[in-house]
Amino acid sequence: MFRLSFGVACAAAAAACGTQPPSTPPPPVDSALPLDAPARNGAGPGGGTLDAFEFAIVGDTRPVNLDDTAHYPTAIVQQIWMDVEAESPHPAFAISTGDYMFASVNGSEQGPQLDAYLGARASFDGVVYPALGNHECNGFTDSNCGPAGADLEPPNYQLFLSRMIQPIGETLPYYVERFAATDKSWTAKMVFVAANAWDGTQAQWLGEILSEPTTYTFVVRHEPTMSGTAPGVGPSDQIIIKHPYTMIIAGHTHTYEHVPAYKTLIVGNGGAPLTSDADYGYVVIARQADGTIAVTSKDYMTKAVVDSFSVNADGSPATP
Amino acid sequence: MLAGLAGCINASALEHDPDAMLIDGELDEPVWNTTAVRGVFAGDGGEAIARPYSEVRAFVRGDAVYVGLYAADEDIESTDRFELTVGTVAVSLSAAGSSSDARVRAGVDRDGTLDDPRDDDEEWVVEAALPVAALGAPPWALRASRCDTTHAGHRHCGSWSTVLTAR
Repeated sequence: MFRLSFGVACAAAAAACGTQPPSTPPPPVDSALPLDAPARNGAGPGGGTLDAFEFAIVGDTRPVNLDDTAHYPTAIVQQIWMDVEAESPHPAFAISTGDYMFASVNGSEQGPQLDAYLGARASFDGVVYPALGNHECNGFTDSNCGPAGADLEPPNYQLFLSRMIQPIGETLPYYVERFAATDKSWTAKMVFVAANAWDGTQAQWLGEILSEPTTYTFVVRHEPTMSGTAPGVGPSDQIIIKHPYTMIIAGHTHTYEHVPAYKTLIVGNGGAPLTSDADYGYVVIARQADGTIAVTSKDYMTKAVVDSFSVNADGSPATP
Repeated sequence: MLAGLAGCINASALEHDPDAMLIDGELDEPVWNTTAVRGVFAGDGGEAIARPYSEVRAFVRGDAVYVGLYAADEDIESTDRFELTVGTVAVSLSAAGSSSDARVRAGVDRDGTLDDPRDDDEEWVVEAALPVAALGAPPWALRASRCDTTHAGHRHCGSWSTVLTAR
């Protein structure tokens, strides 16, 4: 049923905006999946239908030093995912904001570090949609991976795809997950942008995906606007601002920070060395009965609320 | 592995000796993860782990003591620095790559922009080589410290100390 509703809505939006279908077929990003929310009850590959829209955010989780797998912050990461698992109500899904490793592209620590991360992440019994971080390219913030990228496809990138992307039914580091309410009261899309695997194909895809009307749109990208040396940050920002969106969810900076001016939430305090005053922790996002989106940041040890605020579907501050 | 590079590079030495240390701010020689002693800075206010996060690694090889200093930093400034004391040598090592003691070779690697508070930076790393001959008799007291001001305007200081033996 959602396939039909989304299709009609997309066509109507395109007509209203006077846009024409692209002259070339859309990139095969989700070609194996329907262009709407899967009629699955619960979150899974492609998204799903949900009774309640509530999810968790965790990131960044890499160790301090290159190839230092022995000091991967496993205990912190595991505690955070245990906290997420213990949340009530249980989050329908989680997203991670990138940087799961700090491994030399010429070394062999990528696999062991992903072992540590995925082992800790397994404390959460739910699907996790991951964003690509710069450390899943070659480590440099300005790196650009992928077949057309200057840094090609090092093991960090390949293992990210095979061990984190393919299990959720995707093939590329940029993808969309579509959700809809069981009672049809809302729709949402989670748009994952890979700023360290940026190319023209992703740019075209992003514009098309963001043109799909949904009640809520969350753009998940490792680097926030304030970390603009990543190849895809500026170009994707130029596309994003042309469309309605609820929030950009980022990491990269190892802290928790709400940046209202950019409608951005930074969740990078998942175990990587902390850059500011914030402690390690995670964020829970929950749709409220009035349609607003409540954001709650929590400390990983005490579960104390560090920060909380609400926004409307268009990202504007919600009036209490 | 970070963006930005300054300091001393002895590429020819590395080429001929796989165990040679490249003093470039990248702690990518395996010894940093295997042999070096490692300490996480505690906050001077009693915090078990200082904010922003800092750590030090150190080991002795041949005629030098090698020290690696990691600084998480959301706003890297050229005046940011570590204060390092090993034995009788006390030196300031800055995020800009400077060493206050000419006997101490140092390289810095930065992920972020220097002196631009408008954006979010990530970290900087100093890799330093101190000549054993300048340190006095072992064992050597090692102390590393750092203060930093976050975007929020909060100033934090932290440090870590140990004693290094010659082997």
